[in-house]
Amino acid sequence: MSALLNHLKVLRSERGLTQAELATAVGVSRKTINTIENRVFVPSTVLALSLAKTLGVSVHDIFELEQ
Amino acid sequence: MAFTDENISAVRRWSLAAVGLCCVGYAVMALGQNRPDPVLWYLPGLAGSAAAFGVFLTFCFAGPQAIAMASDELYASVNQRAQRHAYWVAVLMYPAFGIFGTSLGLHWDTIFAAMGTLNAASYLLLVTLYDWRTS
Repeated sequence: MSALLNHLKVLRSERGLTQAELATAVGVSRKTINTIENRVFVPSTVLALSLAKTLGVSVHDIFELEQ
Repeated sequence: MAFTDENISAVRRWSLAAVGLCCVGYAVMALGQNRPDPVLWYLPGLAGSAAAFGVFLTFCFAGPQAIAMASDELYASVNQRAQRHAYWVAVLMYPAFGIFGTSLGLHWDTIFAAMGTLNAASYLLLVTLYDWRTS
């Protein structure tokens, strides 16, 4: 099975958001954002869509399958 | 003063760890003294109730958003992982105590007391460990 890559850290930094600010915006803990960025935790579809909506991008811009 | 999700997380982690260690301590003393009540028998239960009350109070002094953030899907995942592993620890305790308990000449009531507290400790310490590792 392919691994899941993500560009969350880059997209968050481009918008000048801290992990805590993004976490508050989507209603999860800062730890959750940190573990997603470090590929320790794979978020649910609902959280992935919330992150995409908050960052103003598509889910495919945040997550992609490793080739 | 309203507690944040980080405060809730910290209180919950330390409370569960303290109760887990209390349960391990009770089991070790029970096995060491070969009796089911090495100290006050209600001590592990009292520690668990105090921890639950402490966590409940923290939730009471936190806003709904902080509660939701502290109980998000990462915590649910950590909690479920600890439950899965604690289940197998509990199952493996039966043969372990069946073999070593009887060969060491431990009383059955001592074994039941130790297994009961170790069952609780396995979940409490695993959830603390997994929660701490994601911090």
